[in-house]
Amino acid sequence: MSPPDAQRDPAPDPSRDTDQRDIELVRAIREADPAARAAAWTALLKAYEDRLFGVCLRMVRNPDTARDLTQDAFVKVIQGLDSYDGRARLSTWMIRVTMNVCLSHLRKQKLRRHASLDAPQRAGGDRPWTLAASIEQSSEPDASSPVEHSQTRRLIEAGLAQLEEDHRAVLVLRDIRGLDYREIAEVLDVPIGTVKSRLFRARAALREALEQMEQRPDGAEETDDG
Amino acid sequence: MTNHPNELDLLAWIEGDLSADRAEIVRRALDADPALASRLHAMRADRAALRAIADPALTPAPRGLVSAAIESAERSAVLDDDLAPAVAGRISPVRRVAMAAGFFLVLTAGAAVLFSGALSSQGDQPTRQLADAGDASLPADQGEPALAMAMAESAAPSATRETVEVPEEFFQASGEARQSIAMLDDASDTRPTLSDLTRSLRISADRGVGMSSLQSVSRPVGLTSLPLVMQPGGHADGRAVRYAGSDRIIASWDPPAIAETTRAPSPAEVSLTDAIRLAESGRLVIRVQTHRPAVVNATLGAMVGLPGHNPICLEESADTCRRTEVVVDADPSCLQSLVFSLCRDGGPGAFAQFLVMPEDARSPDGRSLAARMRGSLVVVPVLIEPAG
Repeated sequence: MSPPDAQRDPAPDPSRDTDQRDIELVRAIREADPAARAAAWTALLKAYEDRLFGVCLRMVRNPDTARDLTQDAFVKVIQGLDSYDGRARLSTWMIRVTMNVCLSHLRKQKLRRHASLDAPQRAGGDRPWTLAASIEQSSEPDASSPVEHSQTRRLIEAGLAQLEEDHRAVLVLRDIRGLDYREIAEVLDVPIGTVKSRLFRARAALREALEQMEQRPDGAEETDDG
Repeated sequence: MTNHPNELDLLAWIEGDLSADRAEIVRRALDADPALASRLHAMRADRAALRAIADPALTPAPRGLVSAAIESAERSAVLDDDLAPAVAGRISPVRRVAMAAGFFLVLTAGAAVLFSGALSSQGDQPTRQLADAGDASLPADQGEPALAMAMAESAAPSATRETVEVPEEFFQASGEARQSIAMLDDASDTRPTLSDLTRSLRISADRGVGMSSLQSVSRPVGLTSLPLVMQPGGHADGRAVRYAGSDRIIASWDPPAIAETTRAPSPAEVSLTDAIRLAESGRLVIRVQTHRPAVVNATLGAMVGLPGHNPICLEESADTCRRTEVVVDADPSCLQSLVFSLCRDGGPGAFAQFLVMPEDARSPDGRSLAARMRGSLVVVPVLIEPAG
């Protein structure tokens, strides 16, 4: 099923209402009695679980791994809220924590892969996730979603997976999460100039990957996780 | 100002936020270089395609993610000495490893004893073996009672069934499966000590009451409950000490745990031995939990092929089950496999619960408790240290 046009834009920046809600939830977590604190934690994490899981899924492509990483990120958010100073939006801070967890996972994986001299592996029984497969499984046939469109998505998603993790991260943050340059700089802890430069190179790398895959369509199903 | 577009100009053109003066420079450059123009147009299309897959409805988070995270954070808070500085000095990492290893050895020894048929009615022999196994693995200078001694007490041959009168206050919240009856530290500025905890547990043990869990109101999450090892005589293991280092503790008892009325071993006196012994009066429910989904499958794999097993997934992930409940007959080899698997692969915080469902649980006024309660709760946490 193809989402309506209005939904195709990246997730909008958190509104003021969202920011206000986050501030109130953080206050409740810090000040309320234990029962209210637990409820506030649940509300806060629930508000972000789809977004952060989506970030992890785009970074690692495997739903089980993405789930574990999101859970790890949540744990770090819980443990680290005391260090959140309010200078950045809470949403930006949470994405930063999540992205760091994902990047750390991918870097460890890369080291393991190099150490074993193996080609990219899949964990036992892990099934690579593809956006196209996800759409096909979760949606009913939709006349407005032509096969060609689905193939484009599949190609884009597979191309994204072939990028270096830093390039993938900046594209996920910019295009899929809709962050502005300043927010991306906060998440990745790099200057804004570096964000722009990295983003341009990431777009160029994605284009190159897509062109290679268009010439070699079977490569579209490779996965780099697991 | 240069007349040639730079990298930032090209990015801004792709992003659609190029200033008017630079736009003209880029336009001229693209007119002059069709290959560059073609590439930039493709990159702009890529951007649009990426944004098209941003719909969060396409990637909903799996069910149970938040609760699992909160539970995991709570476990970490309990197990992390940094978050419990008050007790960090009392339990060294070496000691924790020793306790974990000791517990594992005792469990293994208990299972081995059972497997060899020593469970039946000879009390002294298995008791001695259990004690030996524990003594060999625990440091001698413990301030708390040695685990082996506790296990030995637990395995003492005094399993004469007798009905223990259940204090009426336990049933004040009739219909509630769980009732908190003691708050060890209502004022949050004083922390309960291990002796507070021990005293409370001893009282419960003396009254034949099985303590099922402690609820820790600890930072950062709030109220939660975790299973603990309760040793005979009301002694708690090191994990309980760490609980005592958290903000405050609420002790809870399950009314059903009260009603199953063996004075010794009481439901509070848990061990693998007891779990199997108690299971003789009913069916044994095993719950397995770990933060590593594959371990659940691997653990249950040890049971595959045994008749009568019907695993129920309590918490699903996308492709696997993270928390599983399986009802099995009390088969020592099965339990042994379970414990081995969890110890080897379960990671920190993995545990199994053994829930025994007696058929004759009754309240003092004769009401059957079977409908609203599970019976004696026997908990066997498996506490191991993270690898490396």
